Amino acid sequence: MISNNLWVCYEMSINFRVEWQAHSLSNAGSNGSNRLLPRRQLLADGTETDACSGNIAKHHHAVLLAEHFEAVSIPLCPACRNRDGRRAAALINLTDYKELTIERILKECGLCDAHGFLVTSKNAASDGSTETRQRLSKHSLVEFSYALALPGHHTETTQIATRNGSSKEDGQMIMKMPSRSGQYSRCVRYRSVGIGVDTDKWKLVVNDEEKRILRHQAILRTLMDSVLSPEGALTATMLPHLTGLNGAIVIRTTPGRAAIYSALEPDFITLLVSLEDDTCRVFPFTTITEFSNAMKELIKHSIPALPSQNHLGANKVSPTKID
Amino acid sequence: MAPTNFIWLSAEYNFAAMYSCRIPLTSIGSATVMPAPGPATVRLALIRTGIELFGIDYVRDKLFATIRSTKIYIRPPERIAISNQLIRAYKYNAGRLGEEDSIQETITYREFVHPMGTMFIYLQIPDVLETDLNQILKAIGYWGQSNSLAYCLNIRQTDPEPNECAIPLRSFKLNGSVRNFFSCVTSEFRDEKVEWDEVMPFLQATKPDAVRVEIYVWPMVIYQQHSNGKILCRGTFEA
Repeated sequence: MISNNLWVCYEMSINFRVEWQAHSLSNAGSNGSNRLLPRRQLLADGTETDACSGNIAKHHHAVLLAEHFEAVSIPLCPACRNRDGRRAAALINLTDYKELTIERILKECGLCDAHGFLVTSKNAASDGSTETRQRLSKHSLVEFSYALALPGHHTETTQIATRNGSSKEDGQMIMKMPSRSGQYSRCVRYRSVGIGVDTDKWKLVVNDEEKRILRHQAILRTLMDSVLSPEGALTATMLPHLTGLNGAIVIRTTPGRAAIYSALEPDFITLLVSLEDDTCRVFPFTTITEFSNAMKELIKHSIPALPSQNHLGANKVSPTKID
Repeated sequence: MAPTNFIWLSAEYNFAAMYSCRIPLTSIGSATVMPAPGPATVRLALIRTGIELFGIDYVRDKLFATIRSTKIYIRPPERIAISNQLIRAYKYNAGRLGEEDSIQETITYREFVHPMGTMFIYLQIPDVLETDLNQILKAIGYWGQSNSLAYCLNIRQTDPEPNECAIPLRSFKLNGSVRNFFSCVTSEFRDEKVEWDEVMPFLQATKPDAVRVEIYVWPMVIYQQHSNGKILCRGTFEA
């Protein structure tokens, strides 16, 4: 759907294979103090493959998004200004935020709006020692899958590193750090329709279209940066070499889901391209330049869709007209 | 008034990566998972996605009566790998009056499933609601955790094959034992008369008895054990 030369984006997905060399972006802890353990995942075909969690990718996307928001003067709540990962849940102890509402959170913080939050409910104690609190939440609009290495296309080298012990007597200690290389499959889903929307009730809270577009553009720009400049654990000393990127961006223009498909499958780009129709546009890419150009086009020419009920009118539900 | 005709809709879902549907009553700090979502998860997904497409009023007034009572069959993927992942999480402690709530960073374990093959959800619905339910099923984008990314490949009018779907233990009809089929507790709506206000947490807290747990048997057996997990394959209850 094109509106005044602008793409209306209800949802988008990025399905891609990325090649990282000599990285340790996501790990599964250590065996005490002398060996860092890489993250692994068992696949249904019985192979165990290297993996990087979606949590760490989402965490770094959120941190970078906060910087993008600040650069274009999109407001952040005090918690997000301090890069507190709890987001709105960290506000409940502040005097100014005792009466917290979903409307206030979404209007006053772009990051809580984009990455979601959870303020847990609390029942009042019978002895009056605790007050009742209503649950407030929003799902994240940006979701990351695990990055899974293609079986047979990853390897690991153990590097010996030295570190100082916790006391003087410990002296210098030897530590084994894994350095991994491989081709990884990852999917990202971004529900742009949810910008400025209470997604429990699907009620539009941020009514200013320009503000929604600014948030949308910042999220896209951050997604582009996250793919082109990978971030994660141990990047201070093991910043990955990015040596390849291919995949497909899928844009859904009407209510519904943008197709998403595992890049572990060899024909994933062909399959996604075959789904293209009036409501679904697919942008394949085989290099970082093609990916970057496609994302820049979207940043420039796409706008977030409104929730479907806003198209139909609040009290005029016409389900058969959708899609 | 014309009699209601019922039809079976089958929706086929492809998981783009891994998914995680926690077994009810298991610890959040060490969550074990089931091979596919349970019936209550399916009903709640229909409600949630219905609200996204049609709004609260329409779902509550026109669709909820069907969603709470529809017969559901769930056919898990052909083969799955379950493995454990260590995750950083926040542990929340609600403070007493005059005290601040506190958050502690901790580590948790959670199982994740990597599937081979697609999952089917079967719903028996009145034919007049086919268009609405079709659109809702098509728009469901995840099962379990919201990063359990899924996509509906197609929807057809097809009868289920109950022998390849999860069933409650009480309706297990085999004369022999349940052998080594995977079984776990699963959540389901209390009954066909559960009220809207009981299951929608944004209107008020979910009442504890709105959802009940029941032991379900899945047509899946453990095929391989690995140091970091296990592989399960789908069979049939007749075999």
